Amino acid sequence: MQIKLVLKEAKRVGFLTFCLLFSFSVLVFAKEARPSKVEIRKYNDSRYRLLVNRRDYAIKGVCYNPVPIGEGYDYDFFNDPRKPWLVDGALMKQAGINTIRLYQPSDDTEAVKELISDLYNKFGIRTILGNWLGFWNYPGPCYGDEEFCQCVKEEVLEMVRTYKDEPGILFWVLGNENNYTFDGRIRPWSTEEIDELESPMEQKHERAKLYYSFVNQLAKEIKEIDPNHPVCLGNGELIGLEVANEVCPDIDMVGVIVYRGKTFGNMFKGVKNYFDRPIVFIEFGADSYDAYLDKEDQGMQSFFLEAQWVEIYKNMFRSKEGEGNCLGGFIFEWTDEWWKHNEYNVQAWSEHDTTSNWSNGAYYFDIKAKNNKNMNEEWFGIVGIKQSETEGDLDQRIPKKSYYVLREFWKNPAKRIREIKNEKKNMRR
Amino acid sequence: MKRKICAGNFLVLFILVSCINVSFAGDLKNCPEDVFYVVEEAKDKYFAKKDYSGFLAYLNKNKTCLGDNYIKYYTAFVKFSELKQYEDSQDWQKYFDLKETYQEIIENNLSEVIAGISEPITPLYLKALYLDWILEKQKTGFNENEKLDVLIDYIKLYTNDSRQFGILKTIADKLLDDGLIRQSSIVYDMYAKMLISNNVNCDMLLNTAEQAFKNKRYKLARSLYAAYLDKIYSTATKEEYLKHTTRIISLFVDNGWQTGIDKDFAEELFAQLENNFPEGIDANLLFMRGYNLERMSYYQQAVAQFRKFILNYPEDKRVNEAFFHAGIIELYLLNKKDGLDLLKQIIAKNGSSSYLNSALYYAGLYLQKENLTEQAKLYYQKLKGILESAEVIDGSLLSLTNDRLNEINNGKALENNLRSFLEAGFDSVKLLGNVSVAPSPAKGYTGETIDIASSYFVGNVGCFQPVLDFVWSGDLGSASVLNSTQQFSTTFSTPGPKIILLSVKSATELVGKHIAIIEILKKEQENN
Repeated sequence: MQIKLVLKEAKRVGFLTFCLLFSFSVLVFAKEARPSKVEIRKYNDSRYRLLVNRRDYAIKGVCYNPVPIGEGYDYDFFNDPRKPWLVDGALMKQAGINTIRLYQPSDDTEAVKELISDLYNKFGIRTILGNWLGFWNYPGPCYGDEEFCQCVKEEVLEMVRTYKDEPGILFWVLGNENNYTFDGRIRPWSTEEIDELESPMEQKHERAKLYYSFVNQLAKEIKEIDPNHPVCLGNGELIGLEVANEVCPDIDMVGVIVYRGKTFGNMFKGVKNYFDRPIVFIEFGADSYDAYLDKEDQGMQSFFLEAQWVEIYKNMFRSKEGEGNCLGGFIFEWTDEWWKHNEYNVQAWSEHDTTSNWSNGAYYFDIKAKNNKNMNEEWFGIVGIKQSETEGDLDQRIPKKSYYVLREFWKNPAKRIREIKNEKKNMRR
Repeated sequence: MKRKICAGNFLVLFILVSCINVSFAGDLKNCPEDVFYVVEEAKDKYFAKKDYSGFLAYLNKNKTCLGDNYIKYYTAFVKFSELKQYEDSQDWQKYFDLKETYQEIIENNLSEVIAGISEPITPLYLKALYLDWILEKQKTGFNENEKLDVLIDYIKLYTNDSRQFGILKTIADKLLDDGLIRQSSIVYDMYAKMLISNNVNCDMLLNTAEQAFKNKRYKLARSLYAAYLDKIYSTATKEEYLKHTTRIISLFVDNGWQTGIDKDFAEELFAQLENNFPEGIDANLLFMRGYNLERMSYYQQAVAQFRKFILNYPEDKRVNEAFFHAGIIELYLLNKKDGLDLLKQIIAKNGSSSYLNSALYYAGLYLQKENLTEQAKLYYQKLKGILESAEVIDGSLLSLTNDRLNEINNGKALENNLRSFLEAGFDSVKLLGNVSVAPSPAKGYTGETIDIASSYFVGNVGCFQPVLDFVWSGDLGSASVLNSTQQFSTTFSTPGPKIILLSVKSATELVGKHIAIIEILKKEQENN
C-alpha cells in the first residue's frame, strides 16, 4: 500500500516537473520567435546605447551584397539557389560580425525572410533593412512630387509590415546618400517653387527641407506599424543634417556614409552639434587595390579599417575617451563586387577591374595614381571571391588580411587600442 | 698497412673538409674589412632558397667576427622577411599565428641596435635605420615620417667618413622603388658626390651614368650626369662643356617623338647653360627649350622662349613653327589676344607652308568667334584657295574650312563643339575643375597612330562622379569621336600641325578645356 502511495506521489511530481519544463521551454522558444525589442537609450552629454532585448549591442557589421562573378547590378542574390549567406554567415560569425546591412529587399518576400532568419537562427547575425527611397528610379527621384512620394511611402510601409516580426531585424534605414541631390548635380530634381529661388544655397535648403520632411513622415508612419525597431536616416556625410534637425523629430538615429580615410575627424562631435542622435556608420571602409603601384595591397585596406574601428570603439558608450554617441558600423563591404566599375559592360562583370573612377585624398597611400583616381570600386570587400573550379558552384570566399585583422581586433578591442597607444608612445621616444 | 690506409683516409678527409670550407660562401674566419658586404652576399644566397634558419645558423657560426649588433639586426631582418613572405603569399593564418611573437623580436632587436649607434656610422646601422623606417611606415601608413628624416641624416653623416659607397646606391634604389622620388634623388646625389670625393675619374663617372641610364635607373643617371657636368665645368673647355651638356639634355628632353625622360632635369640644364655659357645657346637649344617647356605645360615660359627664338633667328627654317606654337598657345590656352598677332605674322609672310594654312584657319576661327566674320571670311577664302590648288589636298582642313564658310555665309552659329571650347576660354565662365589632353607621341608621320588621352579633375564629389561630355573639335584626323569618349586613337593623312581641342562639360557646368598640338611629318621629311 505504502509503495503504491509512493509511486503515485512520484508520478505526480514527475508530471508536475514535466509540465514546468514544458512551459519553460515553450516560453523560451516563444521568446526566440518574437521580434527583438530594440531600443536606444540616451544618457548625459548625449551619450547613447543600443539595447537589444535590454542587452548592450555594439554593431560589428558589414554591407552585404554577394553578387557572383559574371553577374551585375540587378542580380537577385536572395534567390541564388546556392544560398551564399549560409557560407558567408559562418565566415562572418568566425570573424565576430554580428549584423549585416541589406540596402533594399527584393520582391520575393519569402526569399528575403529566409535569408534574414537563416543568418539569425544559424549564426546569430542580425539584419538592418533599408530602402533607397526612389533614388535609382527612372527618370529620377523627385521629393517635391506627391505621386512619387506616395509610391515610395507605400513601398517602405509594405516592407515594414512584411518584415517587422522577423526576430533578426535590428532597425530600418531610410535612404542612402539621397542628400547629394540637394545641390542639383547628382540625380537632379526640383520643383517650380524651388526653381524660382535665385540663390543656389536657398534652392539647396528647400530641397533638403522637402526631402527630410518626407523622411520624417515615413518614420512616423513606420512607428505606428512597428514600435519595436528604431528608424535610421541614411545620409552622405553630415551634409544637410542641420535641416534634418528642424524637421525630423521622429528619426531615432543617423546612419552616415563616410569615406574619410584613417580618421573620422570631427564626425562624432559634428553629429552632436547638428543633429543630436546616435550615429552609426552604415557605409565606410577602404579598398584593397593600390591604384598608384597598380597592384593589390591588402595591407593598405587593413590599415585603414583597423584605424577606423579604433575610432568607432573610442566613441562608443563604454569608452571614456570619445563622444559616446556611436553605436557601431557597417563596413563596405563583405565581398568584392566585380561589376561595379563598368556597370553597363556585361563582359566586364567577369573581370576584376582595377580601374578607378573616383578620387579621395584621404586614402593617401595611392593618391598619386594617374589623375588621382585611387578608389577602386571592385576591391572594397574584406573577403575576396574567386571562380570555383566546378562550374555552377558558389564563388570561393578568400578572406583578405582585413578580415583577420578585424577578427583579432574584435576579440579584445580595448587591448588592441592599448597596444596601438603604446606603439605611438614608443615612436615618440 | 691499415695505419697507412687510415692516415691516408684522414688526409683525404681533411683535404675535402678544407676544400668545402674554402668554397663555402661568406666564411668569416678572417673577419674581412668589408664584412658587411660579405654577409649581405651570404644573405642573398640563403634568402634565394628561403633558407632563413640556414642563414641564422651561418650568423651564429660567425658570431665572434660579427658581434651582437649583426646577430640582432639580421635576426630581426629574418623575422621581418618571413612575415613578409606570408603576407605576400596571403597566408594569413600563418601570418597572424606568428605576427605577435615575431614583431616583438623585430622591435626589441632593432631598438637595441639603433640605441647603440655610434660614429663612425657603418652600413649595418644604415640598414637598421632603413628597416626601422619600413616598420614605422607600416604602423603609420605614412611614407614620409620622422624615421625617414633620421635615415637621411645618418646617411649624410656616413658620407663624411666612409669610403664604401655601395650601400648608398642600395638604399637610394629601395627608396625609389618605394616611390620616394625626392629622397632617393637626395641619396643618389650623395652617392654621386661620394664617387667624386673618392676620386673616381670623369670617364668612370660618365660610364657609370651611361650604365645607369641604359638600365633605366634615370634618377641615378640624373645625379651622376649632374655630378659629371659639375666636375668638367671647371676642367673642360667651354666648347666641351657645351657639347656634353647638349648631349645630356637631348637624353632627357621631351622632343615630341617620345615623352621626355626627365623634362625637369633638361630644363635645369638649359637654365645652367643660360647662366654659365649664354653665348653657347644656339637656335637648336633655344627651340628645344621652348618645346620642352610647352610639353611641361609651362606655357608662359614656352612662349617666352619661342619669342626669343623668333627674335634671334628670324631666318631659321623653324621660325614659322615657333610663331605657330606661340600663337596657338597664347590665343587658345592662355586666352591672350596677342596670339592672334603671332598667327598674323605667319599669314603676312605668305609663302607656302602647312603652318600658314593652319594659321589661316585658327586665326579665322578666333575672329569668327569674336563676330568679326568679314575678316574671318577673308582668311577662310584664302585658305580654301590654297588648299584646292595644292598638289596634295588636305581634305580634312578643307572640309573644316568649308564648314566655317558655310556658317558665315548662311548666318549659322558656330558648330556646337567648337563653340563649347571657345566659350570655355574667352567668356567669363566659371569652370568646375580642370582638364588636360596628352597626345602620344606629339610628333609622328602620316598614317601612323597617335593616341590621344584626356584627364580631368572635378574636385570632391564623393563616389558620385558627374556624367561628363568630352566635346572634341579641331583636327581629329581619321577618328570619329563620340562625346562619351575620353581617349581615342587617330591617324593623319597629310603633314602639318594638327590642333585638337577639348572641352569637358557636365549637365550644368563646364569642367575645363585644353588643346594638344601635334606635328605630323611626311615619312621622307627629316626629323628636326
